[in-house]
Amino acid sequence: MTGRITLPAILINAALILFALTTIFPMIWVIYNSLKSTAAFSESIFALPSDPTFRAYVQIFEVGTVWTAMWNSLFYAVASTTLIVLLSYCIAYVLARFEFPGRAAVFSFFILGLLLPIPALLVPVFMQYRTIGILDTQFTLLIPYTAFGLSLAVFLMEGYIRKIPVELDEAAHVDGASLFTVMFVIVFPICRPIVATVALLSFLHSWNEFAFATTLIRDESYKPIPLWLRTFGGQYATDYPALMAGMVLASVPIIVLFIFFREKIVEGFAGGAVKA
Amino acid sequence: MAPRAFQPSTIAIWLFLLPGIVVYGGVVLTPLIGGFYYSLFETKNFQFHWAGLANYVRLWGDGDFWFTLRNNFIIILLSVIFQVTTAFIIAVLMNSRLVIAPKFLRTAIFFPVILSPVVTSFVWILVFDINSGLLNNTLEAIGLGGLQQKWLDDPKIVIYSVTVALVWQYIGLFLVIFLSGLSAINQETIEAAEVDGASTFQKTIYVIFPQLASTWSVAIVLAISGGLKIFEHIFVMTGGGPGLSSTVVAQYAYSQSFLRANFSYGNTIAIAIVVLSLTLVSLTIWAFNRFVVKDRI
Amino acid sequence: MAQLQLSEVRKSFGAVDVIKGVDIDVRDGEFVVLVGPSGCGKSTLLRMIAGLETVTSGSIRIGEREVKNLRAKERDIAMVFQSYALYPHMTVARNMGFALKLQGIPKDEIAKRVNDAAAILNLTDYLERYPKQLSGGQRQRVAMGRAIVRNPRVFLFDEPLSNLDAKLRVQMRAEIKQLHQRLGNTIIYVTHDQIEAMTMADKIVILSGGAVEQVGSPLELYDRPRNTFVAGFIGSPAMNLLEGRIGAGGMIELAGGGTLPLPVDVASPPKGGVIVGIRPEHMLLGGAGQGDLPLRIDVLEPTGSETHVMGKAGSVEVVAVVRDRLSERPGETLHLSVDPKHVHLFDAASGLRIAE
Ligand SMILES: Nc1ncnc2c1ncn2[C@@H]1O[C@H](COP(=O)(O)OP(=O)(O)O)[C@@H](O)[C@H]1O
Ligand SMILES: [Mg+2]
Repeated sequence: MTGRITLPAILINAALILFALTTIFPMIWVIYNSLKSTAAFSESIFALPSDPTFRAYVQIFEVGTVWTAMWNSLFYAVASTTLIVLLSYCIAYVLARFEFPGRAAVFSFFILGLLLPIPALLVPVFMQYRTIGILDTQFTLLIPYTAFGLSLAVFLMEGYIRKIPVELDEAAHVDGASLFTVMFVIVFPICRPIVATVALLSFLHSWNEFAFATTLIRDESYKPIPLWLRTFGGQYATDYPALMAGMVLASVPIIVLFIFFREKIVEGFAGGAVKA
Repeated sequence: MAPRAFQPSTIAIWLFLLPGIVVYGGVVLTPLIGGFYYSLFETKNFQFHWAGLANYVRLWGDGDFWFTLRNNFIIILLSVIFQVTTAFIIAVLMNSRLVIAPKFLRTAIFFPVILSPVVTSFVWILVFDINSGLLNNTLEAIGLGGLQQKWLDDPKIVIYSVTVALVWQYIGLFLVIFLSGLSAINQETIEAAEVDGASTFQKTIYVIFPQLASTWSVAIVLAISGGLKIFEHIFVMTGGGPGLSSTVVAQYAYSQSFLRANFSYGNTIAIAIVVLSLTLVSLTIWAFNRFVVKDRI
Repeated sequence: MAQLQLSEVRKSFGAVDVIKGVDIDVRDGEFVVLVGPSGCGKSTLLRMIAGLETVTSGSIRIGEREVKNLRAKERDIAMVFQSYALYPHMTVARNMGFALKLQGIPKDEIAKRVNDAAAILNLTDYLERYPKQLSGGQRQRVAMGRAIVRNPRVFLFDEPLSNLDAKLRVQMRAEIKQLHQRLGNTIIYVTHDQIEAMTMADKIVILSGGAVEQVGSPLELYDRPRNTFVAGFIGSPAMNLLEGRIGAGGMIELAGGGTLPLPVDVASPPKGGVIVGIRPEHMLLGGAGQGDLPLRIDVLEPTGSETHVMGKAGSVEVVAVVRDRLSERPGETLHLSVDPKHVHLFDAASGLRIAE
């Protein structure tokens, strides 16, 4: 560090820190205001709660619909993440290790998903689902969530596997391993860092997704948390602390993951974008 | 990579690919084909009648479609100017030795990227709230009450308000892209320029910027494809209103289908967006490769 | 009985022929070194033996079995890779025991064999470490340990020492040779380093451009190189190869000036152009041998025990290694001669050894 304390340096740092605060402050503001009573909120929207109350949270939990939504989101996120990791690993391994007709086409096919304007697919996907008759089921959202996660996952994993020396696979084959053993006992454990990245990104994406949820799901019992929040926000539009409590609940798992794995998450977003 | 002696049969290879291809193709490929098919029909009372290219002809003359597309382009333009450029400047500053807490800055600025669009939309509903909103109250508190606006209810400014929310949420993404681009360039070239007597500004223009050409292309492609992907934020924040004032194309397709029950036309718009987006992205990549990235053969 | 037999083995990558019909017989327990310049196809050949590369045509037999179409794991071979290819997420013990575990051998039997191999390789204290916690030499030993525990019919080594520093390389060279003497397994060892080949091999196979140039014991190759390629490849500093023709007096007249004697084993001297080969260490000072090769000195490199002389005979670079300490200086001319039994003669057109 040779940075000297000069006036421009001070100004630049001050400006950047101010900017960074504006990016995190709104969420912090939401968190502490969710602990106010409605009256305290109308008194001052800035002040920290003088008399913190969990009234808003208690109220949400008493209504109860949030539990179903949380459970649904957890199910969609965990199940789609598992599927994405498994499917993308198989695809990426084969693409990275073998030469076969159609290899480049398969790769481009998956990368295309990074460039497609996904909301444009809402209407066509809805039509297809309605035709087949798979709207509004427990597994309806699992398919698009898995599918849209695959592109990035295949891209990241293929790049990672390619960097693992193929001699490792060969050594394992000489040691007597079957292809299955090579893939899942030797190479998969070595891919752990990228698997973690892919799993985190997939989980975040599936937990947060709203567009397909609102298009494909009408039945309350299958709504994920973003859909719940939107409905709740409509009903409680004037009870600001309650709305904010709802926002906090919808974000808790995401924020916890971010706190513990921020490096991996940032790395995944940066690495994924470089192709997109 | 030549075929390895232990490469399984081609059938086995395709068996590994198949589950992924089916799931992915079933959501990406078949809907596109189906969407195109339906766009050739007309919907009346949930019945489909063959219409040829009539929907596309209608789209061409549909002022509302062009208006909503214009909104996408406003967002794209503003995000290239404010989001991408600001992210680049912050990244360059963070890469210099001036900044004291780069890790904190990066984490803080990136944080909104991971939040659900629904949550951030509500955040901005609260910020823009006419009476209890953070923005109007702040303006009042610092004595600029005269600048207060009906941020989300004034058709003239709503699209800009919405853009602010988008820029705010995703600027961190562009920041980490530029930071990772910067970390890949040889720091010694920057130090060499320093030794050669270049000012910070000159270093940025003559040394850093050219080496980041491909990162810029990534960022711009992302801003363009991202700008055509906008849906959830506007859906939640304004529902596209007041009137059509903040509607974007994806939402136009959605409301044509689900509010007007005109699924054929909704599909037509969807196909148009896909074609437009892929065309713009390819053009951008081509232009960058052709005119900017000269250091790569 | 040949333990490993290659007949007419060929390999093409697309239109490129990389191995052009190779025949090699390896006896049981033999230490065979495949040596040749980089890119000549050594790794490809070894990988074909291992079952990592398909065989375009020809036959590969291990013991009595044709293994060409068998998979790597069915060939009863073990391989030590240049990069070691240790499994990074497994401890040394698990790395070494992995093949046994796949064979379904009971745990305590695996542990016993791993411990035995570790003892031989001085790895006992490192069994619970991960590869990245080991030095280069230790990793190398683990890679060998992984091969040893399986007690295969044939060990394959692909440039196993090339990632080590010079000193360690000399030490490991000796260790591998000792290991071979102790275990007695057949070894096929690939290297581009002719010194490794000379010091370790029972039998050397010299490859060039995908074809075998010569097969023989290290000293056979040194004493009777079959062609100019082998002559120049084996020995360090390399053999001097000088153009000339047979003169009237039964001496070789060099194109660059000077004369050298005909070798003793050439009965009828050829009429056309020849290439005469003299190893630097066989050059004699003054008239101690026969012939007269005037050498204008460019550089003198005393190493203590001997002196390397680099200079020009006419316009041709010549190197001599002599036991004496020289008082001459660069620019002066040294007269060299040679004992006829150390003269190698090759046909100028074909490069083949002329011998009776
Ligand atoms: N998979 C491959 N595809 C095409 N050519 C190859 C392949 N592997 C090796 N070669 C070519 O075959 C030749 C021999 O390679 P290799 O056996 O690795 O040489 P060596 O080990 O003697 O250095 C080289 O010219 C190399 O370029
Ligand atoms: Mg090699």
